[in-house]
Amino acid sequence: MDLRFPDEAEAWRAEVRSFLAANLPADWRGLGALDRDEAEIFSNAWRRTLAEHRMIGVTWPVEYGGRGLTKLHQVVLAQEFALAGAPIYRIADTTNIKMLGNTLLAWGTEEQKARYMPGIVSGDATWVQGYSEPEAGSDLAGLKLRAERDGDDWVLNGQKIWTSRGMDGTGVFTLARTDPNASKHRGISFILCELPNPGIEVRPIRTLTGDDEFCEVFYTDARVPVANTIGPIDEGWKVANSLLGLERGEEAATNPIFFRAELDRIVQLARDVGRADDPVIRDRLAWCHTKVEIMRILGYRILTQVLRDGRIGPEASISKLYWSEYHQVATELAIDLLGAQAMVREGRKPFKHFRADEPGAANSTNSWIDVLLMNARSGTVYAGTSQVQRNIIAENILDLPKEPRLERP
Amino acid sequence: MRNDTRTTLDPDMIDMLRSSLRHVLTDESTRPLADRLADLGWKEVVDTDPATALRTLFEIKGDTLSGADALGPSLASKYSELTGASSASVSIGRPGHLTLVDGSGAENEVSVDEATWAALQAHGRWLVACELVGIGRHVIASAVEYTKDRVQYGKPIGVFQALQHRLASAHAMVVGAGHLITEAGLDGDPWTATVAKCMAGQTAEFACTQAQQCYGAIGFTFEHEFPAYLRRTYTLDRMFGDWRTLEHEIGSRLQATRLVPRIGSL
Amino acid sequence: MPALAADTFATPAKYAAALADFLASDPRAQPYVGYRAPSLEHAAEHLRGFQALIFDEGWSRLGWPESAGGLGGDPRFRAAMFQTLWDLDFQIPEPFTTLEILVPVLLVFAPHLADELLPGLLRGDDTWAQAFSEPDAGSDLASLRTRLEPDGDGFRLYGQKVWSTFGHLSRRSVLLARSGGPGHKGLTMVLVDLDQDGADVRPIRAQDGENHFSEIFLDGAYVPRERVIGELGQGWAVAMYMLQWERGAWGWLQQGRFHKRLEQMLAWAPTDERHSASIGHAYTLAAALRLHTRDTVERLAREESLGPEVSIDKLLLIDAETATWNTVREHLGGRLETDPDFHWLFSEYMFSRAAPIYGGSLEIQRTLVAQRVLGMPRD
Repeated sequence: MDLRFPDEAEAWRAEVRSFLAANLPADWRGLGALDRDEAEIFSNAWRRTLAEHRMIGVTWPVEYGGRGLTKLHQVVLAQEFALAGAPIYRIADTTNIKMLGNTLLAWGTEEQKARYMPGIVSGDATWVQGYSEPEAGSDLAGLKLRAERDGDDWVLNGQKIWTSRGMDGTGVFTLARTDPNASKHRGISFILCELPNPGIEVRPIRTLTGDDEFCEVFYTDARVPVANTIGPIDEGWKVANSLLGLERGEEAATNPIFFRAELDRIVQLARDVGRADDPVIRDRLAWCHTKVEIMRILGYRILTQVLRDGRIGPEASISKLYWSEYHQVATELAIDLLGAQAMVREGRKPFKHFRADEPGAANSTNSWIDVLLMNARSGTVYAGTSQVQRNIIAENILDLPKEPRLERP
Repeated sequence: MRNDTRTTLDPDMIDMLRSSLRHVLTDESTRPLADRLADLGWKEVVDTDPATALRTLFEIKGDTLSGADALGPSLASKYSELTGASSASVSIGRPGHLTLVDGSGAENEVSVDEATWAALQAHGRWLVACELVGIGRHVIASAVEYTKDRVQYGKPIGVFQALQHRLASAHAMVVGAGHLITEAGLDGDPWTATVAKCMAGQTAEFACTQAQQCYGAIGFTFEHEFPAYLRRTYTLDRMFGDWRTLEHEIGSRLQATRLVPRIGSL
Repeated sequence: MPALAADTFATPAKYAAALADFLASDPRAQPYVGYRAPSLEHAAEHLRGFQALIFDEGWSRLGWPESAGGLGGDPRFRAAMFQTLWDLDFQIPEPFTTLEILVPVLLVFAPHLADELLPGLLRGDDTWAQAFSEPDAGSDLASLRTRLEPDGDGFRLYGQKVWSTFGHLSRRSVLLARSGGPGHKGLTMVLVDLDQDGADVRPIRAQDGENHFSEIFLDGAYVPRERVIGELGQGWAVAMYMLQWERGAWGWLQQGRFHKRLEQMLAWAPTDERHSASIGHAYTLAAALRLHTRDTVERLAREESLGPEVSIDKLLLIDAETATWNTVREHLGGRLETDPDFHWLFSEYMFSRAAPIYGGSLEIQRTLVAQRVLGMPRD
């Protein structure tokens, strides 16, 4: 396996590094070194800087604020930002840019692109995702949010849940059932709902860490123009699923960087608590190290597939299973190192509720407790539970017979 | 069946006891736990069958997630049994050291000999192990109920083997841990208490992680009961030695002595 | 009749102490202490003498009814015998495992056979195997196809069995066959002699080179009417009754082995702190297994019917077995696999890999616990 990047990508890498050196504060140590309020302020300001310098959506056409570069360039950028501990965008931009931005470019009409892309690029718009429902989690296709046609509008009734950063949203992109007579995966449409909307109410959900990270979104006779449908009506499921692969490809290249940085913090923690000579601790650290190294190689394999084929298959399930189960073990080691101290919460709580805490974060108990209880433990649940991932691997990679399905497709 | 001359509480008595303890441990009263237990005739119960009484108390404490301070007073009773000195509450410090708390809340650190300290630590390990087993049982039972109600893909998710197997494995561990805490209560041996706590810690942790997979996203919300059980598990495990450390200690001792004690006999 | 003092039988503990004395002091027992089997066949031959010795002196007759050649007493005595043998480093003759599983069945469903055949079986003059699985019927045993067809005063068997433990060393086999329609209602349990023309036993070499199992090809093997165990069509119920012995009694026997092997392992290799967690892990699981299976033995001794919870015995057993052998292998640092003096131990290790498969696989047991103990819904 040739792990070198092409010359052109390396040239771009140098450009990205210069940009970061020129625009990050001189004493920059990572977002994790800022307290949460400072981190929020920095993120928003940094976002504007990125937009100005066209470092957002570099694969997008120039006319939409991008640079028309390849996916490989995006990955290189993501890697360099990760190494520098600089946010690639705000947390809410995971849905805003990665998901909606790319979906619009692939499926949107010219009019829709012209209307929505500028806001996405500048950061003035923040689109949050409304997919899951109380009765539609793993079985997302069973969703029930209803959109009925009334003239030029959809009228939406129903409820969404687990909408990340919903309270920050200027709009929700959602999947709704537009043809109740079609089969489960058909008859769903991908609809943009701008906020505020008199028929849409967003209510925060407190997570076990005490933070309001997710929201419920209630639709009561909410009117949304049919023109806000992205892609063909009733084909929203295809629209929503078409770009998942690309997201995973980039993730595969950057996750190892974040988990490596996290492991370095754990090693430092072992030194700080005086257990770096303990053979049992060393054994556990060595295990973590081998896993992170494997993750890096696995990431390259997946990245190669994405760049070559333009899509990723069920191998993404291996990656997701791998890092999410690894993370639970690594974080438990960190908590064990903290020992009795871990019973007293102090220091900075993590800025984000998924995966590792930010680079530069101190080894505080608040950081590790929240990462253990929330980030790591939820890793095997969101974006497809570990059980679902194993099913995918078994049925699509190992070609084992599918489980008999009792319900209508 | 074993030739054991100890008397035990009969099953009906134990049922009644469980019920009363559940009330006492979850009522919102500010009266000290010792007083509320006294109302139950607790002393008589403990005198009759201390092993069953204390194990039941702490298992229910785990099951209900009661915040009542039962550990301090229980350690105080044990301390009194060992030394004759009385105290309202005792907490265990570094080896050879205890903190005594009197009725007015005044604290006093004392030194004790190795044997006394070890016996108290063993008692503490045993009681916390009982609480962990109570947690393990609770989260499994709750997850089972949830998997009957939660429907996805047109079926209750409890029909999926992946979830059935996770909870079944966890249940087997709980059963195993249950035997160890029972035996530890009967033989009073610090070694048994250590093994019991080791098993209880890994059991509760495993039961929680498996239950969490069953709950999915809802198990991460503030208002759901589950996260509190998970947090309590981590806290309790770390009292008197977390299970990974104890595993190492147990193995280390076996290697050093080259003896493999058989816990319990026919 | 053996000259055993009356109060030897008073409790399992007293019995165990008396047996330990005997084994330590009687010169006839000495050739069997610390025996390491070079092969299964050698063990079967060599240990026959030991089995006869402890039968003739009465020790192995405890725990079986007098009518069947025993000396009375409940299963705890047999459990105590196993524990004592392990503790003093005696290899348990393989037939004892079979006895634990098959004899209780006979006592309930075919007492006339127990009376007639148990003494020879107990003494080791007679050896039995089990024959249930077939190439197409493993976990789904109720789908088995070997036929039991009437012939005069008896029956004839046609079909094929596989995974019969030590089949090639056995004279007879307990066997489950189809006497009626499909499903578990059409099954009958019989005892068939393997030394006859219609029965062809072929050993299967396992991955350690030993003949742990056999195939049995049946082409008209004769079964006299009296050798039907239970009633015609009652075979499934007989098999289910057998299961609780297979899971319960076997578990207690195995914990004795695990504790002994851990003890021996510590003597065979130097201290290595990196192994402490793994050793502690195995010990903890072995201890949990011990206490649980003690409870099972006591319930069996009280003649309680065990129900679906016996699957928990199997789950705890698999965990303890896996952990024990993993730590033995790790601690011996390569010698298990390469040292010829450890061939016998390596053979045991390799066989242990089958623990999550035989007697109802790990997956089946988990499903049974989930559905029948926890009450989780079925598809």
